[in-house]
Amino acid sequence: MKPNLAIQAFLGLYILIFFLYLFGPLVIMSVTAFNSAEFPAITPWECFSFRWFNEGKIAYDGQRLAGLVTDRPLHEGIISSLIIAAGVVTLSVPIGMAAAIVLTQVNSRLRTLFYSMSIMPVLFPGVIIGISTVVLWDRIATLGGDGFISELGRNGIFLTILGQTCFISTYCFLIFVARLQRFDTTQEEAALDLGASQSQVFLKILVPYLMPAIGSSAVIAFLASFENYNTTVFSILSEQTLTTVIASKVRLGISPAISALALVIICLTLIGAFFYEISRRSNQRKKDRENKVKMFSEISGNRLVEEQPKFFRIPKSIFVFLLLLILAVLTWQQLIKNNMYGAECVEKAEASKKSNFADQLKLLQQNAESVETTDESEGNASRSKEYNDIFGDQNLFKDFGGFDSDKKEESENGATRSNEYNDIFGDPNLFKNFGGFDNKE
Amino acid sequence: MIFPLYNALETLDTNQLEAAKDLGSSTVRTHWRIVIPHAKAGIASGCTMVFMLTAGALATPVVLSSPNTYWFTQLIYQWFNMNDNWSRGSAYSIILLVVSVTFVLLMMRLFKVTIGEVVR
Repeated sequence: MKPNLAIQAFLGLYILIFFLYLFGPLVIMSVTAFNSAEFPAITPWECFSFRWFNEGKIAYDGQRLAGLVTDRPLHEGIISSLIIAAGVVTLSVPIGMAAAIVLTQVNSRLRTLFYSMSIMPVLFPGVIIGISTVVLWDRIATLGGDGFISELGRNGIFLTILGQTCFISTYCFLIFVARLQRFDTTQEEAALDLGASQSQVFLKILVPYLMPAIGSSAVIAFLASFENYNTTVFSILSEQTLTTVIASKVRLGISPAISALALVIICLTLIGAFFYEISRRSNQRKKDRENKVKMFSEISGNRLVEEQPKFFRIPKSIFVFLLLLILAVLTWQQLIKNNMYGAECVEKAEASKKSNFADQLKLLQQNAESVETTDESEGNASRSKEYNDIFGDQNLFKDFGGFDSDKKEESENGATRSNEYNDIFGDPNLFKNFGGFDNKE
Repeated sequence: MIFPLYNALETLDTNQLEAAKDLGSSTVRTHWRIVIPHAKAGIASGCTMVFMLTAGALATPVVLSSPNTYWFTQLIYQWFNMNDNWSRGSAYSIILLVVSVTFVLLMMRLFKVTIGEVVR
């Protein structure tokens, strides 16, 4: 059948749009991690910098924006996330395996019931699992008094491990069930016939058979636990995990440090997938070669000449990497040439922003001063000017006289009225007797 | 949505498609009469999963929604963590639970599949 060109073009377009929708935000976000501006953005591009991966910055108005390396709450969140994930893996893999094995043992009517009950937790919203865990353990902790149980019931990490295990063990269960469906039970019977004990059968036949399922369910449990938010946010109580830290950051105001973190996570995922694929392929190749060798020895004929496997084959994907590398180097050179990278550029941007900020401050001050000067020169006549009125009654602070009562008389004369801004520093005599930071005098 | 659908379509025997074509059925008709009925469990399962993930989502509305529209999960969160009214939060979450379970049962009834086929 001749493939229709229009349909093919449409399909290509659809796939392109789909992948843009999927990966476009990720790409944009990764790019914003290298912009030195405070807000993750691409269009007002300031400078190319790695500051969000390192130390972050102190913004021109004194706000402190932490980078990846200096962000302590984030580190603590990652550590507790890792602890929780380890706990969840150690709990949910055995639970899932046990449930899957039980499923093979019970009779068929009970099996349906058991199966539906086991997979129920997947269908519950994660919020509800978290809430129920917290409510139950709050009750237990209250009943338990002051002892160990009460402490356990109010420990966020413990509760989170329990809450997440509820539904993550079901994921493991499903993986084990899929693997066990293809298990040949005659192997077990043969082993039992040959005089193995039940535990030997379990350890020497069932566990090796289930090993791939154990590995994949452990990975899935780890990932599901690491990225979980719905359950964690309730059961974590006063602690913090990575997801809750990120969520609170986002709520307070998004910073490019989050983009940097996301980029790091994406890169880790990509590298993990890459190495997994490489090891899988090399395993496959090794198996193929062994099969070939076995076949040759079986045939033991010299009609088929064994071709030596090339030890150093260049994979095609290396060209893609080279292309990307060249592109990166070109972009880098362009950045250097346009002076978009380095301390100079950052300083310039900072200076411009600071002067902007200073300009605004100056403008405010000028407005205030113009009010005063008009007040002095024209007296009450300046009332007619509309803008004066936003400060309300100008005689309101007449009797206040600044923050030092010594000056009260003077200020009532109106002579120091123009110096009112001195008063924001409080008493000018305050540091008179201080004498610097060294008391040698 | 992709995974359940893919799992369902993977098991489709291509001989059936060829047989349908041999018997003179058009592409649309083949799709309607063979592919979709075969993928029924996958469709039901995908729909249920998507509904569950969305109804129970908390992170997405927290990050993306505007401050004056609340999702139900956000309301529950507020009753729990901001207002410290655990009883009310629990009541709300029971409502969410009942709605979700009802939806699952409805889907099972509608597509005539068992719960084992929905979660796979």
